[in-house]
Amino acid sequence: MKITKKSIIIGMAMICFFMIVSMASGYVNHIQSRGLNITDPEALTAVSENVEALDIVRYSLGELEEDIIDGHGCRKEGTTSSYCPVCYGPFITHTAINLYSSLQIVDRGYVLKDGDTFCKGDELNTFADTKSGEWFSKGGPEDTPPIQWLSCPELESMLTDLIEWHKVNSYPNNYRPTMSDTLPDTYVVDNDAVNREDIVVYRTPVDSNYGVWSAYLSLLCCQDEMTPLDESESEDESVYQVDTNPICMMYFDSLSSTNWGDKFAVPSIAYNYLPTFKPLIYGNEENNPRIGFSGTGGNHFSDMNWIYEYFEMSMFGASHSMTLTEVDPALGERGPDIEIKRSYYQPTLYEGAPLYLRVMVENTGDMLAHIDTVSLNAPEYEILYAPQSLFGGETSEIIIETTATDMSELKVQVDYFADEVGCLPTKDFTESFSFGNIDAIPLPPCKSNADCDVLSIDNAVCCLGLCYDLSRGTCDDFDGDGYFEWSYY
Amino acid sequence: MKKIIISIMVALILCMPSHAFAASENADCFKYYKFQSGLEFNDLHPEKVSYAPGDEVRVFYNLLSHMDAPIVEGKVRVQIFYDGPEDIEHMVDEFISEDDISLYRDDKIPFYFKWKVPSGAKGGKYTVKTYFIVGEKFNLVGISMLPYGPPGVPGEMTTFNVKNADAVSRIYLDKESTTINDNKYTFGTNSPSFDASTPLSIKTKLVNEGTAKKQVTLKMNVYDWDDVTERPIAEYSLEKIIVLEANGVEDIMYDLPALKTGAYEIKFVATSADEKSILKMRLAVGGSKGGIGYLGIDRFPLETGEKTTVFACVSNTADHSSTFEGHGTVEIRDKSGNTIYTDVMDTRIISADPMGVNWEFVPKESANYLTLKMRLYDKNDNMADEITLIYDYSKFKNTEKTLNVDTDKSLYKQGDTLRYTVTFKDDENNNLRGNILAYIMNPDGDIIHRVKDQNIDGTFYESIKIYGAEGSYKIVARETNHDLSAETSIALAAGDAGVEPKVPDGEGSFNSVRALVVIFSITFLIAAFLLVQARRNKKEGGEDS
Repeated sequence: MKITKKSIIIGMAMICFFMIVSMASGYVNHIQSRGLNITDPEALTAVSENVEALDIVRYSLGELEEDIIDGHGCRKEGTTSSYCPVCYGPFITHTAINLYSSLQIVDRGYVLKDGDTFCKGDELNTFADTKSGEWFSKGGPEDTPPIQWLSCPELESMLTDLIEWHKVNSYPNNYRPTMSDTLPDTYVVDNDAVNREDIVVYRTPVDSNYGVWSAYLSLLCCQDEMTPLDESESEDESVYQVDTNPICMMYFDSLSSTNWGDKFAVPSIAYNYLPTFKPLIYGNEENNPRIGFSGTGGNHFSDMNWIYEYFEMSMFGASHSMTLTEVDPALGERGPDIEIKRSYYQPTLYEGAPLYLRVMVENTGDMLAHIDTVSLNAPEYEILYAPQSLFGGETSEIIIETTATDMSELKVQVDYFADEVGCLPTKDFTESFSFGNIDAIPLPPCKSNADCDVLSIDNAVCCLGLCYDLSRGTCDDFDGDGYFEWSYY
Repeated sequence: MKKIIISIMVALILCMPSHAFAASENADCFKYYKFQSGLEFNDLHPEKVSYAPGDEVRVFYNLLSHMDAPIVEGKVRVQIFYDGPEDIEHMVDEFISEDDISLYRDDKIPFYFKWKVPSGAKGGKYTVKTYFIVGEKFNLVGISMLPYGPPGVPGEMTTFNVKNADAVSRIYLDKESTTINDNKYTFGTNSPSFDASTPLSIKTKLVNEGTAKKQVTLKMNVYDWDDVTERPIAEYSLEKIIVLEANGVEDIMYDLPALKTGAYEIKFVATSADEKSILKMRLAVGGSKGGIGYLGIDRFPLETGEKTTVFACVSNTADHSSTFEGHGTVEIRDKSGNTIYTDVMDTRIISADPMGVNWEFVPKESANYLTLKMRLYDKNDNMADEITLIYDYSKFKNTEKTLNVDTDKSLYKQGDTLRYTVTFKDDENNNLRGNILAYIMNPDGDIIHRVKDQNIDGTFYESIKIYGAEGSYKIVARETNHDLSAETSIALAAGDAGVEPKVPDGEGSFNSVRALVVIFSITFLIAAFLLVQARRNKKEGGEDS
């Protein structure tokens, strides 16, 4: 059997996103992040060797760079006149982002995993669920609006528009965070600033010591343009590499208040509930733009230099690969093949005696087999032991216990599945084995051991008026009542 | 006298369980407790893209630990949602797929679970959300008590499709119709909060989508904090049988008295044949209620002289605006229940934001099994929360373990007692705990004896009297939790097939020893009687003479 050593190594996306800081504990490096790199729905079309969009990120590691915590149009803590915003309510402690995807590479309906083989000539399909993700706070838990996905040029353009908009516009005085005793029913759309129908700014609750504030928030993520599929060939191996850089930012459309100092009316939110990380744009109010005491709205919006810088950054980087090996259908792996090589059991037993069925199984195939279920056509039985899986060539045993009764054809069935699909038509298989008849001899009555000697069973003994096989149990006074009882081992 | 005092002092010092360097210290809660990042559901995926009703869905993943601190008592919780275009995140099942998982950093262990698509399942997208919970309530990855999105905080998600060309038959609890005290409950956003004097009235609708009349069992429960304990507050538990007409709708009401301060999970579970619908709602009754959010030790097994840190996260769990004034204790006990270490958490004001607390100590003895317990008290010394975790080195998968089986001798005669010993040890010859299956096979390979589900703590002994055909007998031991096996062989010599088994004959056989005692007693009594009689006769004879 020849396996073509042609592998497709698919480079995984580089996740890049930011985390928020805790006032008490510096920064947090949040690790769990997931994303997918298919920005173009058309990329979700069938691909074969021309895997232009095979790319999965299910996990990424990263550490927050210290320098992104500070700055963002405010002075560092510890300096005088510090007006760096502190954390927005739900993000008052550690905050993280999860980017989920359900991107799957599919071969004939089976989802492939890293390391799988697929059959030469098969058409691989990528299947992706809607992108989803969420910012959340550790220890909260507070929910946030859903992440909305854009292409990176779109996001950059939107950020530019926002900054420009805020330079020349200000909100009316009645447009500001509100406080109430109850949480908003749901995230409420308000798209004044974003000015895009497909981007939603959500009214979101901000718990504070004084009640529930509502602020406006939008969580935006984008994917870089896919890098061209990078194919390099070394001998008979082909390597395909795709990298992208998801970038996420938070548009926090917050306002300051005319009633600074009044804890019930003051949305001092501009100071107290703003994220302290850079990917942030926030709005300001017309009459009292307190942010930074600058006196002009928009002074603290991120400037375009920062936007450009942000888009160049790779704060978090992770690269994952998924290797799929192509196999020839004619020469490819045969798959798993579990065979019952031998069985051990006593076909003749006294009625009611435990019947142990021991079958030796071997995976005579060349692929890992996972044993799913083992069943016996007896009314009651127990699987004492079965291996979870068997590699090709591996041998093990299955042990089943049942009770001896007359059975015409005792049959064991092993359902198992292949670890990968390769060139197999299916991953599911069944092996069955018939043990033949089981003769259960009624326990012969006796008055002495001599009565049992005539039986065909060795070591027969008379116990409590019935003959038993002494090699299978013991006759003793177990309960101390002065009379013997029989007990099987 | 001085010597006595010094001796007493030395004795007292020696009796102290361990030296604590300092009382509890405030710390970053998330330094050790890496919520959402400490563990990865690596490569979570269904086996297929699409399934039909009645199919069994297999979902695969690897658990990959990134926690520096060891993880114990881990369980994987799974939620399955139907995500229709108009009915998103309708939970159709929830279950624990794995339990009692222990992991060290970088441990990577593959798992899969199965879920059967209901026979009348609605076609469309189904979402699988997975969570990892430590002990009874610590959310390490994902928050299963907040299952709704968008997308909530699952540990990981994946999806599959169901294609159903036949008639749909399902029941569902309608999220859109769900209210608390006549206010719409908004799933996936924030939990409502009530005061401790407000009774609660929850309303929803149970819908039958299908042409068949159905009998539905509806369970309504309230859980203190989280339903993962599977222990609802008994006094509020209700179960109803509801008959739903074809395409019928039933109004559901669940009235609760005012609850005490705390956070609660309200869970409705409706089942009819293989159809299920689950509705989970979270609410808080504001005020001061302390809770333990995580607990652990930074290293395990304990090693003599190696500094060890106990870490915990505590917070006020009822609302964001209140604080909890509390204090607590931590205690570590060994396998025998002896206290290895104990310390206190001084009284402090605890806010809703998790507060980390650390304690450091130096164990005087190594331990590969221990019980870690923390208790949190309010300012009136009422216990607010209590958590116990068991650290058992035996349960870590990727550690050196040795299983061995041995016999007292190698050659036996018919009827001899065969004594065999199974040992289960770590690489330093410390006892490990496990589950043993042991069996003996005769020369034909037939099993003639077995011991199953035998808990072992280092060593297990068993003995049987052995009879049978001459030849080699094999004794096999398997430790089923880790799929380890060991075997040895003995020889049974030939002999009379029935080397006089010491068993009595006949029905109603009496214990032979007792029978002998009776016989001896009767003989003795007769002899005594005859002796007395003889003496009496002799005496009478003498008198006569």
